[in-house]
Amino acid sequence: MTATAPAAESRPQREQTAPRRAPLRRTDRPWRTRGSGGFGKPTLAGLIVRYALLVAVLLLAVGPFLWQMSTSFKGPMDDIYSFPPALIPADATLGNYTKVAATIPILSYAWHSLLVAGTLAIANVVLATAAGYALGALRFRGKRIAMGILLSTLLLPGEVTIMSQFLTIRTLGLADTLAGVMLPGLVGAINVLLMTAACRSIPQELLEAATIDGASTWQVLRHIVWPSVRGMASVVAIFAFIGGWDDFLWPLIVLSDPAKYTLTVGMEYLNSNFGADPRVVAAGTMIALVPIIIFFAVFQKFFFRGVGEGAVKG
Amino acid sequence: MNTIRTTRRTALAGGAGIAALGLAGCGMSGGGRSGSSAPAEAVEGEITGEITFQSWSLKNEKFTPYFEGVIAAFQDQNPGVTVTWMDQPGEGYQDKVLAQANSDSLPDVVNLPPDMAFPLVQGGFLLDLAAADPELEDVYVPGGIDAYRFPEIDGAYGYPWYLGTDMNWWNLAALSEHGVDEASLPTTMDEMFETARMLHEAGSPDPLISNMPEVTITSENGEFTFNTPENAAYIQKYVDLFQLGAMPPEVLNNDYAGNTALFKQGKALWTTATSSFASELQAEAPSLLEGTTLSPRFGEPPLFVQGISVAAGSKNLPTALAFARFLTNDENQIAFVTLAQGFLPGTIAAAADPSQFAEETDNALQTQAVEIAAESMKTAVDTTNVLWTADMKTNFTQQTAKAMQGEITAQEALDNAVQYGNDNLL
Amino acid sequence: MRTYTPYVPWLLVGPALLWVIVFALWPFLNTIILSFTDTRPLTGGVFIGLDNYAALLHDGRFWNAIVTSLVYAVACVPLLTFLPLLLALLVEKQIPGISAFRTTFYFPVIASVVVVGLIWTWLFDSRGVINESLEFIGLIDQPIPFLASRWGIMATAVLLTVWKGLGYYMVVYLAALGNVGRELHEAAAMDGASAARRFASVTVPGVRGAMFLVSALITVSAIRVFTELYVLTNGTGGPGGDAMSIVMLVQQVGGGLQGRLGYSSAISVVLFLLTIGPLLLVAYLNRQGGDAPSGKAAR
Repeated sequence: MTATAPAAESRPQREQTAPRRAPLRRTDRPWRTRGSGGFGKPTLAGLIVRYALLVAVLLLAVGPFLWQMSTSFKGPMDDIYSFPPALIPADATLGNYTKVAATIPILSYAWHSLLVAGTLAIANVVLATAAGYALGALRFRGKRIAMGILLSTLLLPGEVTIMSQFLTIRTLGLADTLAGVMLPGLVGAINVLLMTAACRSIPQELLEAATIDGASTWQVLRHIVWPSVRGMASVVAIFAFIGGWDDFLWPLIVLSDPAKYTLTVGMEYLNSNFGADPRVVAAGTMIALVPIIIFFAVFQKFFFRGVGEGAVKG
Repeated sequence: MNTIRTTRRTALAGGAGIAALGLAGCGMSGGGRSGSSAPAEAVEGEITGEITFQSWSLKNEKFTPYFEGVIAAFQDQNPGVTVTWMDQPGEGYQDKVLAQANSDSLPDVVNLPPDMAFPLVQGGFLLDLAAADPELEDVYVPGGIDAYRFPEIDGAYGYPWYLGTDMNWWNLAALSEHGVDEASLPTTMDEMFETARMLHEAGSPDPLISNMPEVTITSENGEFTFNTPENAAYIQKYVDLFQLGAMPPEVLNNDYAGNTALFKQGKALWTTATSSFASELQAEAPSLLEGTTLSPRFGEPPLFVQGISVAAGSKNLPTALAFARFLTNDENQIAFVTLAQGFLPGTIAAAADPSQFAEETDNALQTQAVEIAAESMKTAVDTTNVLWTADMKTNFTQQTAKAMQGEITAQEALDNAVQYGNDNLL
Repeated sequence: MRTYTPYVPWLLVGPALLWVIVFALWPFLNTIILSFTDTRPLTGGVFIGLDNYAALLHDGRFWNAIVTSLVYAVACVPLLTFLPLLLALLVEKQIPGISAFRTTFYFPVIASVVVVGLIWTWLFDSRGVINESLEFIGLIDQPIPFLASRWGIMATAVLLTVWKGLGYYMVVYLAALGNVGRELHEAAAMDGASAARRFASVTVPGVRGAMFLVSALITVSAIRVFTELYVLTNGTGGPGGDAMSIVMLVQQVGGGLQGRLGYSSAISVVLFLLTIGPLLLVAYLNRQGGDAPSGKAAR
């Protein structure tokens, strides 16, 4: 692919996106939108350099992924750990993927993972946005204490807490349930801090103006705060979703009934004694990666729908 | 039990494994039940009701039908019994068992290797089978039972289930390029060092030895005693070899699993591994299969034991005990090791005639491995010292690494390791 | 001016606080209690006062681990504060195919640690790609023991941390960049400011909040480094355990069914105290730079 083609294409694309965004902006100064479009337009040389850099980083980023993908397609006659690694399988097959499906109930495990990760993503966005708004934009007595507690959580050595967390879950009667898997992660301190940072950048006058106009807290959150922090909220959603999807030890400890396992735990059956084949394990890992990649690919589009494009500029 | 199961995800387990040290308030009160509350006499009662059975990393197309069959047979024999089978993933088993013990939910019948059974016994979580089952010693192999007898604790806490050993694996194809053939393979550790030196001088890019020295961890009256001059001399040979440059520098942080991993990559020409390494090799490095050969371990082969324990807190002890015995009876053990080629059953009668579980495979190397394993098993000794914790083991590796780098002497490394072990005994 | 009822903020922040207290703070109190005992996981223990802390003072490994962790943080913080920002600027513009690039740049974050460890070994081991290439072009005679010396291991691990962290923090910066007015950039460009100049005077001040948050997060996670060093050294912490971090030491002495929970809890508590310092420093710098940069940006 040559660099000139995208350069030519980029022009109409920008103009397509501009009108779509325009309504979001303050209508009293449309010239800025047009102007910034022009500014954002790169020169041809700049574009070539940009793509060269992008490709360079891409090559650095995808190595392990490629190796794993290649392993997942390798047939029984291909060496796995040969050095230098052979990325193109000589004996390519899709058999490892069918074997994964034959070994574990992949759909039901994936559904459990999706439930857990999806719930965590939604809960974290809602709870962290609410807390972030209070901490980032409101003034109240005890705010420093609340902030201190959250910050200190960041410092707590998380590795030592899992066993007491489990006893808490058990006391609540949630051992061996997906609800028990979700509960401790419903809101994370890091996410609250991220949302606090995002909420801090909302102009204070705007919030106060809305309140004077008689907007309820909910209305302020919904119509002023949310449009401004959607970008960061999508980041929180991604972090929470991936964290929930990838977690291994916690669901392992909470769940006893293999029928309730999440994908990462169930995937371990591919790695069992006397029966492990790294090709099948790699195929399983690839399957587990697909939903995260899709989730990321969808949500990264929202990164920029923050203050810059919200209705709050002003 | 990395020796039976070479996990490639050990690192992850380690990462998460820290969690094992999290212990809630109940840790303060002295664990679970006290050991004395376990019944000291034979367990009697009606065999009925529900129990749970937990195996470790054995749910796959090979073993799932086996376990389902065993459970169905037991339920047929004992109407009114329901056995729920849970197989735990290989990863994180210690953490899972710890969580189960801490929350009073240990399965009634559970597969535990001796090193995991020991701390559970100390906490009073397991049933003394020697007291509960008068026939224990008549039925099961002594070496297997002994693995479940622990220092300063009465009784035996596991039915021997399957037993394994390991052997030497050689990359003969690469060795022969430097004049080593099947006949001139080393047969003692001394010859081993000699060959390693020779290969290095002949310019072989791949080392013969790429593991850290291992010594048998001996202890007497609760004090470690392995800092002997003999062991020091043995470690010194590793030191010399390392200083000569005949070992890769990365060996300093490689463990047993690391050595087999290097072998699979063709980067080390010798490793020790159990007989299941043949299928691992076939699966992961088929091109090495042809040029690989094997030989028995030098000296005493190690014995690896897996066993079945019964939870002292089981609400249905008679049924749990009956199922543990059923699972480990002659017939079921023979069926098990027919599937797990290269391992021996844990009952005297079943182990007496290996032809009962021999099976033809198309992997010639595996056939050879199974034969060697059967032969080695006659002299294999379980040298596991349950007092030797993972922490002490890591410390020993670190001390030996210092010796190999010339910072301390081999004797000092051993002395330090013994000292550290003694200081940290429970 | 305050126009909302006083309990509203608490209603908003309440759930998050409750969660954090129940699932993080409360378990840590337990850790503090354990640190005054000689508890083992399954057999309990008794109160032994400050013995664990006294023993720590004389444990060479502990001091060594503190140095390792602090050096690790000093190396990681600048790299991971600025490189992800540059990366975010690189993928910020809506040019064709950019979504795919952004997505792939996140791959390292979700890559399996074990596979990454394996590939890292291929690259850095004494006969790995890097050593062999350097030898081939004649730069070195002897392989560099990246994975067999304390500083070699740490450098390699820092590289691994940076590689894995780039995508993660890039995402945070991308969201923050959404808040930087394009107008400022534009004005600066019209003034004829160079790209470097615009970066320093517009971009950096614009994402300053995110930058301090990111550097705080990196500080804490770098001091707590575990996985990278664990994977690269098979859990041994390098030759003689020299490259062992604090959390690795916690894991070594406290892990498993026979771990020394009391002692490892004491190390955890010290680790907690140790991270407060750097975090307060970051918070202090954050406040110091409070208004000046934004004033400059708005010139």
